[in-house]
Amino acid sequence: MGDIERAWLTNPSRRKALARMAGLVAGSPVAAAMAQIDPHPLGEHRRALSLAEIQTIFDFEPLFFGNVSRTIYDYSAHGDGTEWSLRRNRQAFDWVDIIPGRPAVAVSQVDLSSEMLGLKMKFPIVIAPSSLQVNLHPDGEIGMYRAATAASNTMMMLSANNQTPVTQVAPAVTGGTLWAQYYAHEDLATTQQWVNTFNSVGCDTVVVTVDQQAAYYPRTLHDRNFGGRGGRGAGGRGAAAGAAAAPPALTGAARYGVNGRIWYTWQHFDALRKMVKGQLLIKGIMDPEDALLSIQHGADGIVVSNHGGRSMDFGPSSLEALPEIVAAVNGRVPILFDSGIRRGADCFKALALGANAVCLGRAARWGLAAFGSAGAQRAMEILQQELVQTAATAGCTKLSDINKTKIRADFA
Amino acid sequence: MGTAVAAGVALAELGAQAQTPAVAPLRISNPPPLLVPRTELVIVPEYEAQARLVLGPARVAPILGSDMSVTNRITLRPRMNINTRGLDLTAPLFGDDHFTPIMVGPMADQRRFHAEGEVATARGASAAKAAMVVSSDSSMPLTAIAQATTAPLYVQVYAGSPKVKDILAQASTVRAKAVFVTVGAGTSAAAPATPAGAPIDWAAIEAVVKGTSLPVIVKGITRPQDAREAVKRGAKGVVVSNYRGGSAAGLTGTLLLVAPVVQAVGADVPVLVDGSFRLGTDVLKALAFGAKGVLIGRPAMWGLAAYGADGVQGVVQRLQTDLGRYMCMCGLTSLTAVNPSVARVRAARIAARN
Repeated sequence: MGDIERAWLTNPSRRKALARMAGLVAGSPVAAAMAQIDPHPLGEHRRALSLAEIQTIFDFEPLFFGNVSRTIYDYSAHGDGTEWSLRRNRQAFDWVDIIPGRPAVAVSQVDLSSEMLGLKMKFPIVIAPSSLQVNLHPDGEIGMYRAATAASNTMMMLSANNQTPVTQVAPAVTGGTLWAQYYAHEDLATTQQWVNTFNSVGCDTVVVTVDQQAAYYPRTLHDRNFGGRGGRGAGGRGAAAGAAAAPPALTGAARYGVNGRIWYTWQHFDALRKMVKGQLLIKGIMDPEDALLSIQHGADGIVVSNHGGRSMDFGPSSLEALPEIVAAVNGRVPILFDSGIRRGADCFKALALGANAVCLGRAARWGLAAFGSAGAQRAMEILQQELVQTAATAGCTKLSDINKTKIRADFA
Repeated sequence: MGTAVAAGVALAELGAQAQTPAVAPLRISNPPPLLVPRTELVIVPEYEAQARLVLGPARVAPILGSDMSVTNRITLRPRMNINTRGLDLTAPLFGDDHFTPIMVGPMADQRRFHAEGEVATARGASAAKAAMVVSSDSSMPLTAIAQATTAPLYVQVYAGSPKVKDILAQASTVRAKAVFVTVGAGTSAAAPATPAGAPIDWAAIEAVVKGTSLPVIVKGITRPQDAREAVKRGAKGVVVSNYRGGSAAGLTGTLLLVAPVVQAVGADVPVLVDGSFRLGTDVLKALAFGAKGVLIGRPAMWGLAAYGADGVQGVVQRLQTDLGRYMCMCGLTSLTAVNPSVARVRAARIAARN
């Protein structure tokens, strides 16, 4: 019988016995190490924040995670392949330092309003097209549009992969600005129908996405550990993604199990250019030569984007691709930027590297998923306020003050 | 999943302890490892964990690990609006048109990982239309491996090994298409590797060249001058390789060694490469530096260990599909279109946060 048991039996005082137990535990190095591990340390205590308590974009993310099913979270959160480029999108912001202004200016003196492609913006921040927003919250695309319009008339690009058609989204909010994003359809008649629909609701500016040609989401489609349940087994999308499913008589890329929008050409872009009477922007440009080709083929604006790390793993991050494209374009057309924006300082860095505006994808989605339209609006306002704060600290009173001289970038 | 397996082991041990003379021994067999169905694996590195489940920590040790330090510094160049529907990965090498430039490299004694060893590997590689290089330390007879093969078959020997004559005789019997001679790695898989930087035994290479009518490819080249010398001594190709993992020998990854070797031997001599090729992007990077083919080792063994021939096929096809996908996203429709501008070497960095 050990000391402890004997104490329990002979001493009526449990307190004393427990004190002895504590002494025994403290005497053992293993137990001492265990005792350091508090199973519920106070520092890890979390409850769901209310909207009023949200301070940064990152505060929305766990609420987004908690509010949607795992499949929907994974679809939104993950990227292509090993997600190396997805991570690099965020890391690249670390390679840019903001030089503090001497003297800093007051926040009240900062006015970042500008005009781009006829669009009057109070802040150079817009909403990127992102898909399936009803999955995130019942407010869906209309909620996002309402939020954007309420947040100082922020322009929103509506994804073609929406769950609320443009014919419903566009008239749902008065006084807002909606651009239409489009994935080129190989059949030009179908393309014409889409363009007609955009025109019929007043979406004259079209953004055509040209990246993600051969991409799919194998992780969310295949991997049960990541919640993917869609299309597994023979004939499903999951099966078609691998070469194993390729029937024998295939030719070209299909022989290797490569499918997708790999038929994209500049000729097709030219045809779309003719159809779109308003402005046509091209999204997914990551190379200076492609930026120059975009201008040659009549694009009115360029969106530098690696699709939030969802297009091509081991491509560069959007931020490190930006300066070279800015240099090549040399001010001929406006450049929008997306992929990785989470803070006002991130907006500042992209603007200083030459973007005319930045687009919010996941940042706005987290807000929408966490609190619906009100959350999305708060997400936009947080970034607007943070950007103004950063600009003030860096001594910038107007948008043109945010330029290369305010940062040090190391993209070796 | 790992917990379930561990729990099974623990139960089995309890069962052993519970034996008493009065009661029949309690038998709780280990449940089989809970493998993820092969079709659900998304990227090749995920096969490694499955192999670990099947083999256990001791047996999986020789095929664990990757050196991604170099490949993680290299970005590819995405290009838009280029029709790549006609993608063609056909790689002409040593007289054959390979389905893709990816082949299964020589790994010794594959019965360590699967009961059918090299025969299952050959079946899997052939199902993926990929060539296979059979190690001279194979655990299965070369004739059986050749019977399971429908794609080009190559044999490997160690320079200066006593087996050379025998292997060369077998190679012609099984209609192998080329002989890979490994240098800088001792004379067998079990022997200690030659110290890094030691001179190559060129006489041993010449002996192989003289002893066969098949093309001879020297594997284990890391320096341009060695590549040039190999060609002078009759090699029809070289494999840039630092054998048994560069990190162990204090060598850098092989990717950055390719371009100087290609420059040294010229366009007419195919340069192949191996060493930590895990992703389709890795293969494309090697092609961008001028390699004409890539040998994969451990990933094929992960597939073999976990899923047998199906696993080898799955690993190879995943690499083939991903090479194709990333070529399409870089606007490249054939191997001849791949050029040095596709890959860009970036600074080594430590991520500060994320």
